[in-house]
Amino acid sequence: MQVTVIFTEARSFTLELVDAGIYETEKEYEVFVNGKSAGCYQKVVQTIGGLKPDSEYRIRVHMGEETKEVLVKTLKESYTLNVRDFGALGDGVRDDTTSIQAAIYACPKDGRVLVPKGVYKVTSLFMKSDVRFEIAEGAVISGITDREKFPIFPGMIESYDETSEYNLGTWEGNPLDMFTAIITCVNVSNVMIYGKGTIDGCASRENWWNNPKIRRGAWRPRQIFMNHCENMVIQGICVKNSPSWNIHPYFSNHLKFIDLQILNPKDSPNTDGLDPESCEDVEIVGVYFSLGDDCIAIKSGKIYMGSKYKVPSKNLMIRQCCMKDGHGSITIGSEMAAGVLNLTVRDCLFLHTDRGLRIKTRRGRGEDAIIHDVVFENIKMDHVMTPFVINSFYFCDPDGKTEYVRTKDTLPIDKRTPNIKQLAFRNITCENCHVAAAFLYGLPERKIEKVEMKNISVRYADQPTADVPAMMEGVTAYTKHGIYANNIKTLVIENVSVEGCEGEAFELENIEDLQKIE
Amino acid sequence: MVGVLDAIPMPERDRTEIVNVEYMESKYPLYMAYETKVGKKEKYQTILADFKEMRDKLFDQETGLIYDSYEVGKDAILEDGKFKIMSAGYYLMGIIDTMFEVAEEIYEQYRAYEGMFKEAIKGVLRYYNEEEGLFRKYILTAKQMDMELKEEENPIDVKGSLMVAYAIWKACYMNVLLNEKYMPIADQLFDCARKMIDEKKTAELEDFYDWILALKQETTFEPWIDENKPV
Repeated sequence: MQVTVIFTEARSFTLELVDAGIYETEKEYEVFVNGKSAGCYQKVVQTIGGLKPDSEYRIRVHMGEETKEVLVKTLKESYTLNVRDFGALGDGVRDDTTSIQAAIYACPKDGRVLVPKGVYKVTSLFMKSDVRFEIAEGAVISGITDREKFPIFPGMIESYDETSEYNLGTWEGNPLDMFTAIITCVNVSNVMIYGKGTIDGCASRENWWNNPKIRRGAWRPRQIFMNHCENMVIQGICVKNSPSWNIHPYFSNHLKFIDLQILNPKDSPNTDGLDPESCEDVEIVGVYFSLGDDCIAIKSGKIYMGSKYKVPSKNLMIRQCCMKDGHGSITIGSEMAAGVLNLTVRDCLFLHTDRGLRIKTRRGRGEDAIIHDVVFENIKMDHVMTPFVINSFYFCDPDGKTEYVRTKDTLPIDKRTPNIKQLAFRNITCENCHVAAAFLYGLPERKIEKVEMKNISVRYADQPTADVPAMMEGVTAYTKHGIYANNIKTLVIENVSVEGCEGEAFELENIEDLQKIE
Repeated sequence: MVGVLDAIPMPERDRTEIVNVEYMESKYPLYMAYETKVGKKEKYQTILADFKEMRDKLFDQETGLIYDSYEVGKDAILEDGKFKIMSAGYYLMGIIDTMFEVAEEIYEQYRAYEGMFKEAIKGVLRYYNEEEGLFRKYILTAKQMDMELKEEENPIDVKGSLMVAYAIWKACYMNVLLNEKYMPIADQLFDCARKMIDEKKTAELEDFYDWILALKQETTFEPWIDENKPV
């Protein structure tokens, strides 16, 4: 067991136990701060609070026979601005938006805006750079649900000389008008949003989720939206009941999401957990997801944004997360027109999601829509309907059910054709699979370059639920299918066992180079 | 905004027929409305391909003006050997009214139409004489400036001017054109047209003005209850 401190602020730190388990440790451990017990825990990634600014602490982690020590020095802090002192009531009734906004606006560098215990009704709060925004234990930033009270971010604003454009709003990969998020960050840097409190969007079928596919005024807001931001940290908080996607970093870099809970009802529409879109250097560690759409969906825009700006999502590390319920645990796409490069997912639990890894793409995403260097390793899946899905015929968008998207015939490669390059899946166990072990379907005109499957075991549920393995036309619902792979150049299958499937364990078509190693 | 009942499905185009610029305005908004509201956008790609073809044939890159018609495989046609403001009017209205029916989620197509519209509006506005306030029937290019046309050979064209005014107004409304820069031009065209119609007092012009006004009315939608806005 190794102990590393992955985040420190003025009053808490987050530690990560390396090689001690996946999301949860195999054994309980106790944390001592300067010799005093700070509690017993069983999460691999754990935040310890109750510290003072600009102080040194000796941290001891005691698990069974093992003890490890690290030193922590908390950050300095200039001033604390308590939002109550700015007029916020936190009574769950009054609109506290302007009071909290005043505190944020006035906060000096290295200062902290503190939201203490209470329920604070807000529309949108706008961050500025160098602010630490703490939502304390028992504090709830509670979203007002009357859309007429929300500002709108226009999708695109043209310059006076008509030579450039300014993108503020976005919806499903296009620069469209949207309501501003509960917490909105535009062109800011060095912001921490943290604490043990909650951001509750209060969405339901009576408000934001009513007719969710219809634009009314603008597209639905997110809970946290970052547009062109740098060095952002979100740590510790619970984010729930989002009007649409929960956390949406957009064209932002050097981001950390640590020890969070992201929760939405299973049947809530478009409530993706965390969707980095055209972002670089993203770390997602120790996050628990349970929601109504994809847990993490990595994106880079639809064809206009992707082909014009060409900003892929790249250099992403996801580890020690638990994805429970939801469509895809880790999804790439469907809006990925600028590509997704260098993604590593390891040491995660996927529980009761429709799919484990899910790649959604389709003709029309464009030639810059390249997925490359994706590695999944050391994953445990349980009751994931179909663990591995690559769908190159995803029937999304208003033109998703056209012949162009659905045909399995070879079409000419043109500017609209996406590209899936190299993917590796290693050391993965899938228990209680329901539909199929894997469904990997590339385009005939541009096959998936290489898929490596190594040290993988799949076993099926006793009473599996039927469903389609992928959302594309021409596929029926079934149970207990093996590995289906079609249109792949090189497929490496090494030590892969599929126990208890009905029919062939491997159904392979149009594989140019098959390397099967027992 | 074209209602569901007025929208019509796009027929297969006869590639041998002559494509007149009026066809862009009279039919394509209805086809697009159909595809958006009923046809599940199956023919979005086909409609865009048609517009790209019409743009390639009808938009003259050198002058920025619009031909009257074309036949596939042949050069575009200028019936009188001169560019007309009415042709520009139909072309611009055709694009902007079709754009209004496009679902904004097919954003790359929306921007493709926008590109065609902007190049054409900038083209025609190069020839706008603010002092005259309205366009004339024929737009003379630099090479045609020696032509000495009499007033009756090249009169003020109220209808063509109104069509351009409407197209600019609608583009500003949709944020396709910058309001601050372009709406004053639309306002001036509308004002001058109104004055001319009041002077001439002809039923034909009055009816045309009313038709343009009605098109403007149909464009308006409530921002908070926009079930009517194309999705």
